Formats: sequence, C-alpha cells, structure tokens
Amino acid sequence: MKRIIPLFLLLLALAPLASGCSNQAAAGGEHAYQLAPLHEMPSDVQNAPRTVREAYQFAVANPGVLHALPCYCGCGAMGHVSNYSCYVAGSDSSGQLQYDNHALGCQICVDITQDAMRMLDDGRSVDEIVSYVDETYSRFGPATPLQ
Amino acid sequence: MRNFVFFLFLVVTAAFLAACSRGEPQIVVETLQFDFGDVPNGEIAARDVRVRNGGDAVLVVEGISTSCGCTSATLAPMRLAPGEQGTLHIEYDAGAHGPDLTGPLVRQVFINSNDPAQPEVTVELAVNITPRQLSEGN
Repeated sequence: MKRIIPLFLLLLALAPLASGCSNQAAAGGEHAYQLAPLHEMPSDVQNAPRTVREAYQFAVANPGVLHALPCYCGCGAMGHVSNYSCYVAGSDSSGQLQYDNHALGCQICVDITQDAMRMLDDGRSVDEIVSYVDETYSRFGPATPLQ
Repeated sequence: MRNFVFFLFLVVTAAFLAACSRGEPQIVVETLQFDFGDVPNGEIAARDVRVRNGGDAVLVVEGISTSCGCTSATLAPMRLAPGEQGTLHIEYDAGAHGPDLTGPLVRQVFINSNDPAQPEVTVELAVNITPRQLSEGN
C-alpha cells in the first residue's frame, strides 16, 4: 500500500502533462487537404505572414477548390476569374507556375481561402463552401466571373 | 485594541483594493462606419477619423491593417494617454483594381490595441466607384 500511494501521486502529477501533449497533437493534426512545398514559392510569399503563406500553398496544391470559389475583392476587373487567380496567374511554356502577388496584399482573398481550408477540415463540401463564401463576402464587391 | 486591529484590517484591505484596481485603456473611435460616396476610378479618397483614449491607462495601438491593398491607414500617435486623441488617416485607392472596376465596394480597417474590452476594432468604409473621368485632351 505504501508503494501504491507514491505511484498514484506520480501518475496524478503526470496526467496534466499527458493531456497537454495530446491537445498539441490534435492542434497540429492532419488536414483534409494538401499544402504545396513553401520552398518552391517566390521569396515574397515565403516571407509573408503565416495565413498568406498557407493560402498560397493551398492554392497551388488544390487548384480545383479555388477555381470553384469566386473572389469578391473586385479583382474581376483585373482579369481574375476565381479566387485561384489571386495566387496563380498561369504557367509558362515549360509548365512553371507564374505567381500573382495580388493576394500578398489582399485580406479578402486570403480570408476566402482560409475559410475554404477551415471548412474542408470540418468535412464540408465545395458546394457548401461556395454558398458560404457567396453569403459572407458578396457585400465587399462584385464576384469574379468563374469561368 | 480590538478597534485598532479592525482599523488596521480596513487600511490593509483598502490598500490592497487600490493596488488591484489599476486603470485600463479604452479605445473610442469617432465612427465605425462611413461612406466615401461616389469616387471616380483612378482617384484616391481620404478621410480622417478621430481615435480617443477614454480609459485611465495608456492606450497602445499595436497594429493597423486593412482588408485590401487598395486601402491604407495610419494612426498618429500610436500611444494615447488617458483623454488624449489621435488621428486615423484612411486612404482608398479607387484605381487599385484596374481602370475597369466600377460599382459599390466595402473595405475594412482593423485597429489592434491593448484595450482589454476591444482588442480589435473594425472601421468599415463603403465606396461607389464610378467610371474614370477623361482628362482634357483624351
């Protein structure tokens, strides 16, 4: 009995540490989407705030999702056709991506992408994300034409 | 003796409460929403908004950001003593999205400060971009 009590106390002391570790693991858990490697991005993107970096990484790795999402910052007037255009302008003859620096300075573009990332993690469909984006961001400006 | 102890207790309690009730800053923004009205594409609209510290500790504005590269905002000064007032200067560039953008838009300015009750305050501005005005000779 004398041996059990110290052991019990030790376990009691370690319990919060263990629970802290498990919370950390959950916070850094797997996403429902992929992110493109950051080192392949332009230096401006690599040096941007975390949310902006991740949005560029998400755009490159998940073009289908962002092609389906409109952007509401007004960038349609600049030739953008979807939220994807805010990150990628196209590709050259060798297939190398040409980045668009628009999203580096546009919180609306990045917020739309971050919402898509969050909702994918929540198990929402692309259609549901489109509806949410339309409802939340349409007051900021005209939608891109989504070609 | 008993009265003296009671008096001492009151003095210590009062001192403790005084030490605990430190003042707090309070950000007060003149307006949280305004409308630039019609602004021709290519022009820059600007407005000053007063920001005041309505609290009783120094208000420190830790950062100002906007929802768009087309909108800029600066506050001077960034530290406001209790009762002091600063000026938030907001500029909107109606040509930032190219010469063809027209119509209504909404943009936001975010002010982050050490006000514990409102760590982030959002000022929202509306604008209606009208077609570019052709300059003489065009």
